[in-house]
Amino acid sequence: MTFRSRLMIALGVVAVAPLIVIAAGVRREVDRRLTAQDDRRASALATVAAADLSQRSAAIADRLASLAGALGDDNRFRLAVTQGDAAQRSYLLDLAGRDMRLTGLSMLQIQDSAGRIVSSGHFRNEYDRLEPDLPALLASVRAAALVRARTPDGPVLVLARVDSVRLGGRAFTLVGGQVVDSAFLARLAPGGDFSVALALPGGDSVRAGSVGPGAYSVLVSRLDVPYIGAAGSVARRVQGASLTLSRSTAALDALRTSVDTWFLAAIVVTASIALAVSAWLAARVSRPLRELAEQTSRVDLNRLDVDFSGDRDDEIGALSRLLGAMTRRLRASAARERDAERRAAVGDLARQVNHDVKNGLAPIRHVLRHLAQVQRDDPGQLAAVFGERRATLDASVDYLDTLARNYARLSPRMDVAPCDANAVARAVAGSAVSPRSAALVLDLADALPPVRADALVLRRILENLVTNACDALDGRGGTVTIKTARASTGGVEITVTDTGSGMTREQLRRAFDDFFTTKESGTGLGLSIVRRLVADLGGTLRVDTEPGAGTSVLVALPPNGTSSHAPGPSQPT
Amino acid sequence: MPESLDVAVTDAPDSIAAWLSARGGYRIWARAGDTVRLVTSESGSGPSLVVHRVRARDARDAIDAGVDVLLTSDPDAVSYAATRSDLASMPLAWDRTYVLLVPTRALGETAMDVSPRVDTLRAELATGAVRVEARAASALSPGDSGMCAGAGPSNAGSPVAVRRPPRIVFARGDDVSRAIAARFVALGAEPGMPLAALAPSLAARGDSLRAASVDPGDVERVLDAGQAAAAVLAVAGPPIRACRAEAATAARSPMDMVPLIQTRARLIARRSLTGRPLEALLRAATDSSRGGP
Repeated sequence: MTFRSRLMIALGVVAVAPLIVIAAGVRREVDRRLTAQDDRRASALATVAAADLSQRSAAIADRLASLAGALGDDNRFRLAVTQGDAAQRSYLLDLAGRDMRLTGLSMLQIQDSAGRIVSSGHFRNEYDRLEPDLPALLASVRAAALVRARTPDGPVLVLARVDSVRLGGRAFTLVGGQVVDSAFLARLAPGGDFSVALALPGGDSVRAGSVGPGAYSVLVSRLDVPYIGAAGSVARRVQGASLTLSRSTAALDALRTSVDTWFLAAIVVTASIALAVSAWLAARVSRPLRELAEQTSRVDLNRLDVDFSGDRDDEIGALSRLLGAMTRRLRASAARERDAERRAAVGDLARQVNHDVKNGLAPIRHVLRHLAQVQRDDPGQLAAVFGERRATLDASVDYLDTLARNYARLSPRMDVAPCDANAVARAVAGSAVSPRSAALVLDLADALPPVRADALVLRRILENLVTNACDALDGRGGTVTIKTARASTGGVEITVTDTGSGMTREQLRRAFDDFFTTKESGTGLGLSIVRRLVADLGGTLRVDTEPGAGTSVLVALPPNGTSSHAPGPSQPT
Repeated sequence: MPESLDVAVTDAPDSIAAWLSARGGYRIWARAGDTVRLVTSESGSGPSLVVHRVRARDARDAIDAGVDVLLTSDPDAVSYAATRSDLASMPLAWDRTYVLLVPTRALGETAMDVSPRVDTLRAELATGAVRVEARAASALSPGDSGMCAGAGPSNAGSPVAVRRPPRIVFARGDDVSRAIAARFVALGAEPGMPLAALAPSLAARGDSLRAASVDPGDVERVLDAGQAAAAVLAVAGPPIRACRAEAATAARSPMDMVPLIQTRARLIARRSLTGRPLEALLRAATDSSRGGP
């Protein structure tokens, strides 16, 4: 993870974390206060609902009492039920319906002492049905009870009570009540936040209010109400129904959602600002670090002149100064290293010169010691002996002269003139000392045009290349070929090829460096001298080599009267 | 002597108009909503009747408003008219039969009881269940149940074999049919009651029976489609005519038709009225042998 990323994350966390804590705290407090407020409202509403239910029950009882009184005064009713007056039959059957509508009840049935329905308001044609258990059960409750009452269209749930009246020594009961449906329940708990549900035995239920069965709700109150099921094959009995008052959490949930939304928006805005600020700060901090890294990446042993100076007085400035000090120490070390290498190279050269000069002086010293002995022992033979040994002296002097000129050519002054490359190649082949097992082959082109070069320089180039080629055979035998050819540019190409050990890529990369050699007795100067000499002639150098297969060095020289503008060796293939 | 009478009816004016056209020499001259004008001449001049519909609960208001003639079966209106000395009340013919339509019994089902219990049930329906002037429908022939046997294809695989909803359907707005259906619902929960003798398939539904109204034209279609267990239907004329009407439609699916009760309306007129329109109206009303509205 980058320093910038770490910085951005850190600033983001520092800015957002307190906001999240505040949001959680505010949300919790709002939740707690609203819940407490809702609980108080629910408790009050539950009390009101219970009182309302009790009041409705009392109202039903009052109406039944009024009806009982009216029936006692009704002579037509008396005639119909006590005397069986057929003329009053229709009146009797319609009586309960009329009285039910007059009193605002939604259920009313009048039964005789045997439980036979003599008049029914909510189900007129139910007359003569026997239902003796209902008045008895309602009387046992001593309060209002929920009753499943029959109608032609199906059963309805009624909050019912019972009353009685005596006529002619016979008792008649009045069972009356009001329908309990969603509208009835809704009146118990007005308002949109609460719902009333009536759970009946057997899993049936009646519900009113905004809180649906699947909505989140909190039960705030439960009221048990007696329940009498529908008449049927099963014996009726008083069971328990539950009137539950539930509070909807929708408003609270909406408030929570709103609070969450606003805090989320605040968190997003804060996080965005924090990210922007952190990005700006990170850029200010990381830019000098990035520049310092780029400067450092440019440092190597050949390039220690990178400037790390700066005027910052912070940690980055200190780091920059440390890097500057380090590069200065590296520069000093590299200079000492190069000086040591140069002195070593000069020492090697001095030892070589010393060796070569000693080799040249040894025959001369030997001839002079011989001549001194002849002069002392037989002076008359001195002239003759001198004559014999003069050739040796001349050869040694020539050798030293040549040696001096060769060393002088480490910094040559060329004598450029039209030169026959084939002639130089033949001379080099004639003087080359090759191993006995090696074959030196000349493959010279006919009618080769002259090249513009110093013949001695060209011979030195070829001598070095042929010597290296013979050394590459490493005594195992093989072939060294000197080939000349006309180049397409009009110049001449001279190729020295061997079947020796070849070079690796790394060896080839360093082959033209000064003092690089793979031979125990080598100076490492041969190919570097060749590269400089070819460049001095305006030619190009190309090397093709493969480890174990040999090496081919091509020297391309410009035609007479021109010079190449691309000196130096080309890349090997 | 008025040449035009204002006639209020608590039934459909069209059926009254058809009745008067057939018996009183009237023909429909104009129609506007629930009001029909009937005349005796080709030119539209001369005696005429303006027949308009009132709701049953508004029948007494129509009397108080001075309507010339009221044709109704509403017991409250009839009772009210009896208390008024300026009004004369005349019963019309027993012109409507209410029947129970049930799918024809499948093979192996219990046959209908022909005991007097069925007659008792009819009488009880007429005197207690309905609030109009009614009587038990007479038996078609001595000793039978008064039932029109279902015509049509074989009983096997008939709609009764299909499990039908426990509904007794009736025409919406027909209070008499509704009262009969409600009474059957009440009787269904009473084991041993006469319903078992009259319609075993209904009695078997017991406490689950319900009464349900449908559009007047859909009663037989609902029953034919297997969407009800039975239907209560009003047909014009005596039971034998109802059986003939049933025979005409029985080819769709086999149904048993049980005549239940017969009802009649009353003609209530102001005693001061005279003239040809009233005479024609009375002549049609007293011609009970040809059925009524």
